[in-house]
Amino acid sequence: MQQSSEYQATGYQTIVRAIGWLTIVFLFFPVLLTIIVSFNASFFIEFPPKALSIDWYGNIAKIHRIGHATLISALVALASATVATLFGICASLALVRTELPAKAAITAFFVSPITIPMVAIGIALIQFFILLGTAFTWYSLLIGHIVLVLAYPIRTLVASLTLSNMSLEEAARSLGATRLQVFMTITLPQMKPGLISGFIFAFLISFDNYPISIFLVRGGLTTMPIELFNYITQNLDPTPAAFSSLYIAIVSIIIFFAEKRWRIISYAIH
Amino acid sequence: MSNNNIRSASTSVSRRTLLKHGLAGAFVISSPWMTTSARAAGQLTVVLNQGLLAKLWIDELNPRFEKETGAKLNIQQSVTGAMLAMLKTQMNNPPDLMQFSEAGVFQARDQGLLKQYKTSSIPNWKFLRKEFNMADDFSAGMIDAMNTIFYNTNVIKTAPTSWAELWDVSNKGKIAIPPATWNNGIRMIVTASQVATGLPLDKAQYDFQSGIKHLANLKKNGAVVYNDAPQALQMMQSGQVPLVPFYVAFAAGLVAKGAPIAPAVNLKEGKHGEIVGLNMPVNAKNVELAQAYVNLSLEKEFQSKIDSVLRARCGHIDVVTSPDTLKLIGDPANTTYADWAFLSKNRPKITEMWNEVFG
Amino acid sequence: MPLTSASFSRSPLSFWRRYRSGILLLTPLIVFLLCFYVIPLTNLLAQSFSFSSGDANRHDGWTFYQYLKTYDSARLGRVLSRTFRISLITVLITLVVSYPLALLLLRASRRLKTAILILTFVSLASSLIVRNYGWVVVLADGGALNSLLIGLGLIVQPIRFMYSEGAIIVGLVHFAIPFMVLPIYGSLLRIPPSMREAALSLGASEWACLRNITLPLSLPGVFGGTMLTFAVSMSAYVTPLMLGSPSTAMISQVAAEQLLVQLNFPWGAAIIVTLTVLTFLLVAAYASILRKVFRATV
Repeated sequence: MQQSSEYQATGYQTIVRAIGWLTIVFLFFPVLLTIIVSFNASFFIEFPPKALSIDWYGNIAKIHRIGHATLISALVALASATVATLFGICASLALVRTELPAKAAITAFFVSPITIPMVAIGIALIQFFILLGTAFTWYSLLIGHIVLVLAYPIRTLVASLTLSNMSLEEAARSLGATRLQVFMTITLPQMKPGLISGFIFAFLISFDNYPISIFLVRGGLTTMPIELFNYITQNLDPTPAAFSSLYIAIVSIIIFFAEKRWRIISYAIH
Repeated sequence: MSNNNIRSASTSVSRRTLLKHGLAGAFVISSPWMTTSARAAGQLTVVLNQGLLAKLWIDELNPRFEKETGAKLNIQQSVTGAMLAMLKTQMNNPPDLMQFSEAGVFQARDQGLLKQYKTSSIPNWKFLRKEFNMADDFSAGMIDAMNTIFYNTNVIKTAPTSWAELWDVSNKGKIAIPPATWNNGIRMIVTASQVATGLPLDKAQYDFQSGIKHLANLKKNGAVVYNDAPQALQMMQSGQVPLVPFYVAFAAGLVAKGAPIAPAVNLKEGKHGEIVGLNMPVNAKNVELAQAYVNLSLEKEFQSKIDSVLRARCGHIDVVTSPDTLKLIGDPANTTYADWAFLSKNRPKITEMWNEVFG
Repeated sequence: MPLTSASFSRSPLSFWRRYRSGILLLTPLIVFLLCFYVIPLTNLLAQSFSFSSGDANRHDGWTFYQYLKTYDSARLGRVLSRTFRISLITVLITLVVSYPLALLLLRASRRLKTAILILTFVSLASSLIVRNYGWVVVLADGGALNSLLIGLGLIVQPIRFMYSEGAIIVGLVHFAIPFMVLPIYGSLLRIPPSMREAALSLGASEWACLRNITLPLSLPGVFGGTMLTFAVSMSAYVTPLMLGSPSTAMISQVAAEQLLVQLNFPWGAAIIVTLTVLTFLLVAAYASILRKVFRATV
């Protein structure tokens, strides 16, 4: 009886573990292959590579307006993540530390942009901006991205604040600190994990976005995902593989650094 | 312990504030990068088409133009359908020039979206072939973008001689057709109508219902629809789908590289010609610069590159089509041109019907 | 500082006094969302009830024409059922592969945990276009998968994987795995380890533990993950655009084409409203069924 259950245990556990590891390989597989293809001398996508070359990395500059687009994407992502985080601070303080009617409904409202199809938000916004006469400007793109990423800092900050210790604040107040002092020196640091992970999430989602940006840009205004996508759908060569490899490398370094410095992932898993 | 906390907390807060202020400042300073308001004099906004059609201008003409006029070029790329949408939604602030084909020109002109060229200000206009002057001076045609059946020379030993061969049972599963969002996709419908009714192009093109019905039979024959140029080229050159109607100009580069693909140069129902040119939106701000750009594009030296690089017939009357190009585009007399005034007016309806079958 | 916690009076003044800080803090955000979220979406909804310039028998004023057109169109019916089918398959596959990964994470050492989570975050952070391009590379005719299969002697001619529903599903599963793993992992963490230890010490097998303790207690995470994955798949735009063909179009693509190319705003609006309402109804129905059957907190 004991023996058969042990055998049973190893059997099912092996399967589960195998599937788990296969999934990890599945997650990593396209990344690995993109990197390999980026060093393939051949013009077509071929496997295995017969000759190696780094020419495609030099060709990255040939992606139409890629430098300009990447700069715009970075600035818009930075600005929208900042504004969203500021909004998030206000919202989380209000929802967790003050009294409000129908808190669940308000929270659901703030988080709802995630559940609406991005195409719907993009279409709604461009039509609205055309009505206002401010379509295809950088601030309309920024507003669209703020709406897009707003939910993420709000979620992480509410979680952070909920887990934080309110008695510390009460103790400080009873010792004579003003509300502002309490906020700056106690509340804000306690919100740090939520702040950082919310900001990073918002930045990444804004930087990467295609469905909302494609409706809001025209003319000189463009973003990195849009130009990358245009290149992929117009050209056969593996230059996008070089660009992707570079992009993944930079993102990995940033996340690795953020984990080492601020332990954002460790905060997420405690 | 609590002292340490407060100290480290306040320094981290001020670092964060500094970062935020700095970022906001950088953003404000760099915002002129992102403005899309009308260009000042000395700038020209040109929307070019795709692939090699645009590349030739970007590589050869634009540097010369910028050097000779001192103006700065702002280049974007798009397709006919999106450019028409751009014309409509950006009426008050359009680009100065757009490169699209006759598929859009007539519709744009009839909706009052294009400005007629003042040909007296364009010296090279007199070298423009008559048939390349589309819609009475509303479009400066430059490239005859020919579309025909491309075949993989490793898989298909003899070139197709008729569009009707696509419906042969022997070609089951071997065909990819363009989407209705591409202009040659609409021509496929017209050709299907020719094949189905047996009428010549000038009669058959008005009966697109029969065309779509017959095209649906291709679906039964296992035809796939391609998304974009790289996809079509991949299918062709790998031999997986060896018969693909496609533009010679987009494939010329690959053919030059020695890929095993070749165009069918003589088709019974006629190959498809499509004139692509430069068009000026009605509210373009930099008219003189735009006309200078058109003039430079009509120069003999540049036009002969359309022949040698794009492998297409060009608009300049003195440029004789070279033998290498003729090998790829075949006899110009075998090329037919459609009534795009009619087709573009009915395009939404045609596209919907096509979508019902293939979507 | 009148933040009285017991303010039973119903007068507006005491309402204000009680909720003042909260309302003041929220006002900028609410104004922003009203201007740039609620109003544009309402405008979109209103547009869907009007005629577009190309419609026959058009007149000014309200009409259900666009919704009737959506309902009548055979193509849209196909697209809707295709979108639903793809989303369902994606959710199932993602669940089956993500749950073991979450279990693996649970039992892993600290280092391995961090490594796997970094990989997951990098996957999340890589642009969707970059990730889908990776799948183009793997699934292409000359790509890694075909080369592997040919190399192993399993096939002779490359199989056409790309530009099909299968490719879209692969791309969507790859995209959705982090959305499924993290909630499941979160709820697995909340299960007290003492429960499992108690069960094991009483003679239960590992499998019985999983089935009777772990699985039921992790259901909130499973529900959250599946709802999110389903919603994201239904509204997918970039993945079917890059990995599919016009014959495998999903709803967001169809709506976008109407809006970007055909410039038929009312119909595009009606299509996207249909998608949003449908997804919302399906998710709500799913949530209420779960609540009744499992009495779980969703």
